Amino acid sequence: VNSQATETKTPPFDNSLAAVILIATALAGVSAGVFLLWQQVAPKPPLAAEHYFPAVHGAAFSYRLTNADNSITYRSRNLYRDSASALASKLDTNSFGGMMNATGVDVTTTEPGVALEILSRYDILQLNDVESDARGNAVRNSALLALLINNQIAQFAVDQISITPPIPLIPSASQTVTGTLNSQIPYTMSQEILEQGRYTTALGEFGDCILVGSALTINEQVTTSRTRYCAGVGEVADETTDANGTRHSEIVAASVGDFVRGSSPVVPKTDENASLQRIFPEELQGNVVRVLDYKEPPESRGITTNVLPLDGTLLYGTASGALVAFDRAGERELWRFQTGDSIFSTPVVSNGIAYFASADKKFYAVRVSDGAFVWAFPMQDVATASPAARGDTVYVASEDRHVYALDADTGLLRWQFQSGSPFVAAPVLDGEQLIVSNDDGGVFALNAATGAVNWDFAAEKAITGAVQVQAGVVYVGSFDQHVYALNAESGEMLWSQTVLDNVAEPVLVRGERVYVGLYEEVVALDTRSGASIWRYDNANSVYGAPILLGDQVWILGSGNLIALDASTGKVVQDVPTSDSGVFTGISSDGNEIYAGFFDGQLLSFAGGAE
Amino acid sequence: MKMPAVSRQTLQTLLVTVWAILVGGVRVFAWDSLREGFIDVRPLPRVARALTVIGLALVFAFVLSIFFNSALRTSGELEPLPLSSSGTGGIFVPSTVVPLAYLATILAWTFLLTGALHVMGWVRWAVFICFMLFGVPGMIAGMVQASTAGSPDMFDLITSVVALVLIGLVASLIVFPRLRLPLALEFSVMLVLVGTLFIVGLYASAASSRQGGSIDFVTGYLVPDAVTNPRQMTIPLLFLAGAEIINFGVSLTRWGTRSTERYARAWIVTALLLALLVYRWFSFIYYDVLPDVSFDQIQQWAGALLAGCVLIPIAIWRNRKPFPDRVPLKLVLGLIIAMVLPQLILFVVIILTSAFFSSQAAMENPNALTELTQVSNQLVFLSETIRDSLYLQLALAGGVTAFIAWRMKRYTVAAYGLILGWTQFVWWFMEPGRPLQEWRYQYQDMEPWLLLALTAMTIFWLARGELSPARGLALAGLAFFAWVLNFTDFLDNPLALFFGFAGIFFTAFGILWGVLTAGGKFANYTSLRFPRLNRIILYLGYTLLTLNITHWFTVTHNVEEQVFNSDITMNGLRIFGYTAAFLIFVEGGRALLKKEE
Repeated sequence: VNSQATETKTPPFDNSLAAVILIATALAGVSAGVFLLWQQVAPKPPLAAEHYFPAVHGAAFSYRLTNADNSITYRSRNLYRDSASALASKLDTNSFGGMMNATGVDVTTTEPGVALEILSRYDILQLNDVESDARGNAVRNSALLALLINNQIAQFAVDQISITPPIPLIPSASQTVTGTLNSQIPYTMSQEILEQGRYTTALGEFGDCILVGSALTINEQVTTSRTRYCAGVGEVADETTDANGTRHSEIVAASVGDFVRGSSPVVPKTDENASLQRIFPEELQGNVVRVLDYKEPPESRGITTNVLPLDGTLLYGTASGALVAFDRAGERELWRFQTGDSIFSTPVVSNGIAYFASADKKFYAVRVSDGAFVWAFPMQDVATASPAARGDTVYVASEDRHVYALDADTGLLRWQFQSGSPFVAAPVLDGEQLIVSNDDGGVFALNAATGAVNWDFAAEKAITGAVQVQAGVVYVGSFDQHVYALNAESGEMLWSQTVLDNVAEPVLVRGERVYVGLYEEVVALDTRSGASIWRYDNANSVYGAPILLGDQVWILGSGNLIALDASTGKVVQDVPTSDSGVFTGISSDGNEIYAGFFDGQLLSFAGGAE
Repeated sequence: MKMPAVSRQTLQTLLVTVWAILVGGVRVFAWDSLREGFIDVRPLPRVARALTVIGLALVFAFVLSIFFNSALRTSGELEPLPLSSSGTGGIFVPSTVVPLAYLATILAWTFLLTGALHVMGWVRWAVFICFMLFGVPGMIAGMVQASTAGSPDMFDLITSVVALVLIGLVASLIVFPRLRLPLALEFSVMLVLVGTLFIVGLYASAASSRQGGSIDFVTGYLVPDAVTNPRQMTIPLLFLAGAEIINFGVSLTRWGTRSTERYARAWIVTALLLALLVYRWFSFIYYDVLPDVSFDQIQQWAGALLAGCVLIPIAIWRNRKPFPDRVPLKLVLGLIIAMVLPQLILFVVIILTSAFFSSQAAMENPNALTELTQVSNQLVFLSETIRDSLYLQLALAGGVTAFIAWRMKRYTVAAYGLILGWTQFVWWFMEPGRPLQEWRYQYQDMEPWLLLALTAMTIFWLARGELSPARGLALAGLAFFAWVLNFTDFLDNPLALFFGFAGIFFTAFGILWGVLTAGGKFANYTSLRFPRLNRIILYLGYTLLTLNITHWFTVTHNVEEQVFNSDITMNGLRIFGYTAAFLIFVEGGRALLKKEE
């Protein structure tokens, strides 16, 4: 019987303050348990030594160097930070020895499992320096390894030379360290903090800086240096004197944590340009077979972007946050630029610079010839879509609900456009317009020069695949299970067609056909009316956007690469791929088809075998 | 009815009255009805009050956080979620959300399990089975499986035994409902049991994954699994959240009509009715007809007409029968559960099948994976077949409901069943790939037909001089209600530039409205087998679980899951909400005039 009631028979305890305290205690206990557990995997708080040298994974710097002969060079510095146990197997013999000495682990007496357990308590910092002249030609590459140990950042190797004992990068007081290099050559290092105060650089004035003076003696050769470190940034200036003379360096660009400022001159500009293309005139001849099977190292944690082909080089991003340049012919890594978090934004290349976004909420410009850092732009959220670039402007659509137009050379903001929802789909340039679409189903045609809205259109649900434009018509698919054709000048809807599933990927348009990849099928629609021409139904899933090579529509299935006849939708080739889990879609340069996988596998397929 | 000449004084009177209606509507009726509908904690013992306040505070905090989800993402670090990510895009969760969501999951299950103690057996067991299937983290199952197969190490064995003991203790509380302790003790014990179970599970799995060098296992795999695993279980509440939007519309209109009845003179009611009709026709012609009427639009109007034409004969029949009746919440809940249950059962069967064949594979049965694939394919086929005929099943359920209710002389319920049966029957033909797919309509396509009917009635009664104040008020209420039903777009995105929730706001608002009015529906009532305290705690636990998942998908910007969630809410609105709304039209707007129940 339902009735408005007052509770009866309440145990007296439930009306007492003690009962409330009991619940509060239980709640506090469980909360503490969860937070203690979380602390083990939560981002670690910085060491005291990181005040003047932030050891931030993916930090990047650019320095302008004035050499003893007055020539100007540029040094790009990129920081990689990982646990010592994860990096141990990657180190050369000397560096490994230096690390073991620094951690006090004796490999001859310690069991491997125990050694790894000890190493996992420490982080290694790897500083990769790329130095080039004013024309962009490589001058010198070097790598410095340091261990975050005993509340210090201690340098234990440089360029495969071990340093025993390790030398602190920032001394806590005046000190002199003596030891050996590669356990053979004696060295002496004297360090002291000379002054503390404000310092002005090209990036502006910093309020909390120190000047560290040091003298390194090796075989009676003395190298002295005066290095300036500023809080929250790290090294901002240096003056090193050795037998060859004095060399000055000064910071011109930095991206470290929340501090993002400046740019390195883009010299020289090249005509290297590339963006993800999905349509190629020629089909692959003969039976298509696998011609490349490469696996990224485990610490990459998988390939997370489309593979962008660029004149024999393949560019892709990884879950660990590295942009990798891979030499297709030599089947080897050329360089790797580290950012702070995963990269899901397929890069575009314009005038020799690769532009991409990282989940560390920054947008990067990196030189494709050597992976040198050019500039970064801070956003409020991640961007997972590929950017668009033309001329001197690059455009990025971010999940912080903004579209940013940036100066391609300096990264300075030209204009921004804000919508009510995050942008996941890539922006597309069409003439003077930039067309973007958001998570709420909005399509906006913006003036590419000013960001003013020319027109907008609202689909019922989210749009995550970039629009495609052909002959003045914008084609776009939505999670509302529709494909729309819009007039590119006015945004007026020309037609809409219902499909059987959410459209999550960009559609593919050529001639009189719109090809749409859905969860378990591919459909071809008529560009003039939206009428369905053919439908390919796969028993298993198909993923990613299709690509078109000649008269064949290629799509990645679960475990196979499928080619469909573009006119009929009939399967013409079915190539086994991999049992790997998730993949990032397929791409091509017209000669090969590339596929990257979340488990780190990089595959390539080419025709030829009859 | 004689209309006074339009003069300055007339206009002044009109404006003053409209102001009085608005202020009165908000001050007297809205406030009163919200106060009556809110969960009343005053008669509850101190502990129950504290728990209700904690639960409500968490519910409001989650809703608020859904509204301002960007702040969480922009203010801190983001952690990647590899299992949710795809080639289409990476999915990231704000670091701070990870422990909070885990804690909220523990609390939600504690509320649910505590609420289920001492109530009727089927509720107790349903909650416990749900806890075992969706709550007990996957890592516990994995641990137990690992410790029973092969030669487990001591750590696995100990944690498995601890987990089994904890589950056993929870089960014993469910099995022995007569073992009644003070609420504070019961809740604390349950919190400690559930919390320890989750913490042990997370700790053990994290430890084993760290040995494999996978440090992001906790954030990337374990926590999302524990938080989002119960999402199948929350589907009924998402359906209800959709239906709640109609209740909001009904309440809004009712406040307006009651306020109008109190403050407006007869001629003002008529003036308001005419103004409303003119405004809606003007909007329709100006925005929908004049710019362009596509063939697609004509087909959608035809679809709405096809679905709505049944309302006329039902209205004629219904008005010949007695009125004092309403559609019970239990019926809607029953229909929702009947609709969801087959898929839930299949989902559970798939989980159990996978676990069985995985253990077979672990025991090195070479055919295990092949057999698993075959069985899974058949189960998925069965699931798709059931899903394909869902609207026909609903149509059948509507028909059966109508027949039984008619035999029991429950005419309102019978009308509800008839409307549900017909609208879902024609909707089946409008699904993608079916003959009437181009006729698929939205409420906006239905409104002109409703407006036409209301206008025709207004003109008919005006011409005959029979537009009484009661009729005028009912028609004005219906015209306003028809307009309010359009506001789902507004609910979707009231301040898009600042918030931008996509469809998730719709879900969150539906749930919030349900919580705000739960007292008037069931939470302020009690029965011997389902005491009030248990209703409140159980409901808050279920709501918390649903909001936690909705919040997770919102802050992770998981578009696919957000669309899935909001689709369910929209289906709840379309299937049960609009059916209830059409019933109000069929019954001549009586539900809009009376005091809230």
